[in-house]
Amino acid sequence: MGEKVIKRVAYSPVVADLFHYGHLQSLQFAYAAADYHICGILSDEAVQSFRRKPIANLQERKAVVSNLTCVDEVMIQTAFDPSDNLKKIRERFPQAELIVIRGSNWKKVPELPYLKQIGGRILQHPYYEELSDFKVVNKIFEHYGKMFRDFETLSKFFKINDLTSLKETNGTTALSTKAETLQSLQAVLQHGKIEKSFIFTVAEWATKEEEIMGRIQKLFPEELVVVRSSAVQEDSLKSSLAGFFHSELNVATKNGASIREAVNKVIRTYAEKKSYDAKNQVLIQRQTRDVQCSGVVFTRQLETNNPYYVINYDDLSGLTNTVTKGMENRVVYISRFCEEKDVPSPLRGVITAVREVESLLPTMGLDIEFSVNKQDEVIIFQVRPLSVNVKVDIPPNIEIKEKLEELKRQFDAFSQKKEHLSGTKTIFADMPDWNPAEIIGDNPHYLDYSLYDYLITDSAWHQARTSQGYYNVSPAKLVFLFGNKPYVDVRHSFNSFLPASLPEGLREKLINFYIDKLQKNLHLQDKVEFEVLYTCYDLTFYPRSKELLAAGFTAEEVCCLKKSLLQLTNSLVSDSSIRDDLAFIQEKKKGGNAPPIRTPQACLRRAIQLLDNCRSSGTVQFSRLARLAFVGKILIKSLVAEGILEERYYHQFMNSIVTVVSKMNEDFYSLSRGGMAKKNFLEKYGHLRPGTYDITALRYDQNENLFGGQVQLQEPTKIAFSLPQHIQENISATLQEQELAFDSNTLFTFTRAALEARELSKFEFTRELSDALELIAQAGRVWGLSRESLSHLDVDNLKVIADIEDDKKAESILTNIIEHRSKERRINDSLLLPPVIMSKKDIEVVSSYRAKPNFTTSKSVEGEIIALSGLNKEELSDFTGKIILLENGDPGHDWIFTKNPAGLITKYGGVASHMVIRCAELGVPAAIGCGDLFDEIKKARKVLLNCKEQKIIPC
Amino acid sequence: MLIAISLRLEENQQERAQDILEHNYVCYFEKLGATMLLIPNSTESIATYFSQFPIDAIILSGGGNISLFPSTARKAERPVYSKRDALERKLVEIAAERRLPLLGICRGMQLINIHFGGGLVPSRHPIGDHQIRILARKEELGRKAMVNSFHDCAIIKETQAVELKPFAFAEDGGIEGLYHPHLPISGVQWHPERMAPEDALNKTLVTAFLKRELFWRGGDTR
Repeated sequence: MGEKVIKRVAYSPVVADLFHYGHLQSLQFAYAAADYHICGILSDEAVQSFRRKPIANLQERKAVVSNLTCVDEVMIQTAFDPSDNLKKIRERFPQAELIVIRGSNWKKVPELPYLKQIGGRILQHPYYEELSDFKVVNKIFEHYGKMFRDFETLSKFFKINDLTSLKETNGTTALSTKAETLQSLQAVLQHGKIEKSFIFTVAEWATKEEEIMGRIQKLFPEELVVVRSSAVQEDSLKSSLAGFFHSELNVATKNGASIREAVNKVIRTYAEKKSYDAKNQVLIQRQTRDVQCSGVVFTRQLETNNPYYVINYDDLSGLTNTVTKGMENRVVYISRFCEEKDVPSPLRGVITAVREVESLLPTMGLDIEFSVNKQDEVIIFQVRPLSVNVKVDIPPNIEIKEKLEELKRQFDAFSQKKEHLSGTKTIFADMPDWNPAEIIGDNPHYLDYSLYDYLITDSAWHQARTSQGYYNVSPAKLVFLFGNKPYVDVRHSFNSFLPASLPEGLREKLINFYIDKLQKNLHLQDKVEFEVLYTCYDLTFYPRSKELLAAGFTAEEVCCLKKSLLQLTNSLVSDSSIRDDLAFIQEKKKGGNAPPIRTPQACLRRAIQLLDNCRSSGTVQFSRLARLAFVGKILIKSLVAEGILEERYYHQFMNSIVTVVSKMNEDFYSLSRGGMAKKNFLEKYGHLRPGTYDITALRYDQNENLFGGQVQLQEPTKIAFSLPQHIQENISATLQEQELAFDSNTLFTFTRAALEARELSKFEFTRELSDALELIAQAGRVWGLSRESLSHLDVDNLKVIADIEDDKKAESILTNIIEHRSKERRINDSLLLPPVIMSKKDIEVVSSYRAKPNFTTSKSVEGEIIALSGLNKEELSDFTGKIILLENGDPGHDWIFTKNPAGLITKYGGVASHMVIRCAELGVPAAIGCGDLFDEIKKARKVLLNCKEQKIIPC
Repeated sequence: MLIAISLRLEENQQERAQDILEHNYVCYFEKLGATMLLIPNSTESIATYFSQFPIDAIILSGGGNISLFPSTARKAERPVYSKRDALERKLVEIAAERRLPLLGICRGMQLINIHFGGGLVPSRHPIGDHQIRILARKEELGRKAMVNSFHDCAIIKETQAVELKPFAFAEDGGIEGLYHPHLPISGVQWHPERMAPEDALNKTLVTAFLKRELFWRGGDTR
């Protein structure tokens, strides 16, 4: 068919402020009236030349119009008179008839002379009166104005459109206003069901008890009902989850006495909570039967307004009130952008129903109580505004949505099969292997992550393992960021634990088995070296390897694995590398003092030199020693597991280890008694900081508070460890029987040496790291950049800047990067991410698993808790008798042990983590790696930590 | 001004199909200065018509029924040909694609409604002259007019295509005029070309169609 001929061009000048249906009408009119439609958007100045300034600016107005299918082209009109634009159009379409579309509300038509001259015309389109500015404003004032005292309350009304405030401002005293709201929802809801309900106030009960009783019995004949409280003060909303509200379930309506009793009980709870408002309500609802799941949905995250549905629910007990009572609680966060098909049942139905309620009450954060019955019907009990969120701004949703999409693409890209590695898929977890959640936390600054990556998780980690006889995974980074949160690529990690001598087919089978096992047992993620992987041969190999046979491995394959592990273990334990690595590190320490540094660029160059030093002759050695310490520990633990060594000997052994920290403890004791000068103490330990990789954490020698106050310390004691002869002989015999080529003495000596060397090597390389951080801070001071600003940079940025001698240029590059990254970080801060990402869905449906804390010692203590956050400003005194709460027990937090704590509880940290070793060594009872439980414990004032029974009871 | 018009397809007494056009259409539109280009009921050559002739507008003529909704009453007398439906649907597509003004008359309006997803019901109101109410541009808004129509099927609120909008109603609520909100496409149930009874409405409507002034717009309220 021939080219379309443009015989007529329509030009429609518009302001299109707060684009609405009337605007659309006029533009569609113009589109239909000609072959080509050019819309002229008036610039802000052009608008202001004849009327008030538009609310939306030119860019915003233009963006809306440009995206309409009824507009072929957009021009900017810079004056009230469109003639200039019309002349341009005339030049482009000399043959076409030119018509200008004007709404019938335009009185002045300045382009008329020009149009007449060229034979063009004005075409009026009917003005859409209903949404004219005049009508909109008039409606707001006339309709709502009388309801409010002043402008502030009026605008607040539009902000939240609060159900209860509507009720109050109506000024009615109808018995059932709130029930009416629920019932009016019932009429329109298609996905959610509302149980019949009835509501009255405490005041009404006081005066009209008989009338209310009659209505209840009439409304709910022969039924079971729930009698609920519902307080009027909306600020009580948050505490509602902690059991503020009381519900009496299963009250039979035919028994008048039991209804009265239930209602009175509810009213009594108001008095108990000192809530005497006569408008407090009692809600009667039909009892829901056959409940499979019940809970509460917040349509945005509490207090932050982040775009997540937060669902607290109970799918075990079959009761409808366990969540509000704070029992049986599970939490899942579902991104507001998540497609329903990605939500697991039965929550999928809940989201559908919640979205429907939201569509009726838009722009408002809601708190919705629900149940799902066994027929998969969703029942809605209560809909309340999320009033704690009203004052909080809504974060930029679009950016968060885009970020989530980006993370899903990232997951896909990282999960691709890798030719040089085994395993068909991978998962990402925050605690296996080099436990990033423990070392740099789950929300590290960009610099923290970059340094950790540069020094360890980029390549040092696998170089060490390859040199020890494990499979070479290079190239493979261990830790990646999703948003701000670091995750271990489990496939990379697990491959690096395979003995190099295994054949390829078996490697593939093992990796798939390991990943599958972890997926089914997420709580093992911080214990993978002990409970998921076979990283060395130990005495539990036979009982453990039954799982391999059950999973379809052949006896030959298991035998082949055993041989490889045996060979590897024998070579590792007999290895003299501990001595060599340690000697190497000690040698380096002797290096002379660096020359004084003048420029910030020189500071950075020196910092990079220190980091490179760490990398080339520090972290690889440290990684190797860490692996050996693990091997020793796994072997000794297997002796305990097989009943060859009593557990108390294991604890005694761990306690007898003398590391830098136990030395520091002795020195601190000496310091506190005046035996050691503070200067000398800080010379030795001054470089440590709580947050080894964190430039914003001050060093010991910069933080007076850490070593202020008077502390009554107990003298640290170390008991020498020795095993009775017959046990040693028994162990040696068993080792030999199992074809292990070392005896009891060698094993214990080896393990002690490895543990002590590991701690020492860590202590040494953190000194260089700490100095490097100070040099970076020093360079920042010259450029006027705070430690917080510097924390947005990465090692590569620093390398680039170090070579730019022009200060102005360096500064502007830095400022740019910092601005960009801090914006990125703000968006990332709005994301909630799961501990483990197994599939793309996990990025939008965030659930957690019940972590199993790692308990140390077998003691039991009870004490007040102290949460260590905002450390630098805090008054830090004596921790005697107190239980310390710490998110991640990074080695830089060792100073806490010099303050005599009664116990320690952390959120992150694995079974062989730094803090587990410390606490075992110092005999401090601890629960390391409590996961989400940590947040619950944090709410308590006191806690009972019973390590023997593996219990933490808040009290 | 060149107007393409579709033709009726009917069997003669020897049961041979014929493309025919009521002469009124030609007289009426020629008087208004238009030249009529008759488009036979075949989709084969349609592209050629549009590439060879500078067609300015399209009319879907009346007479007969839509093949999907054959008349129950006069089945035997009015054989139904899906070929005509196919051709006319193609014309609506071309009009939408090239943004050409298109007017559907009687069956033509019904076809537009069906093309955009609507349906038909058997006609309820008496055949012949009857009163309609116009819901169009301001000066016509709410005015009543007498028109002539002759049809077996009708469009009512429930069967009107969601995408389209009504601008004229019969007294029983049946829809007598329809338009598309952002294409120059409209349709009427009556026959302006018959001029009996004659009302100013016909001239306003047809002039608006020819000059592309979208007369039917503007009655759109809540």
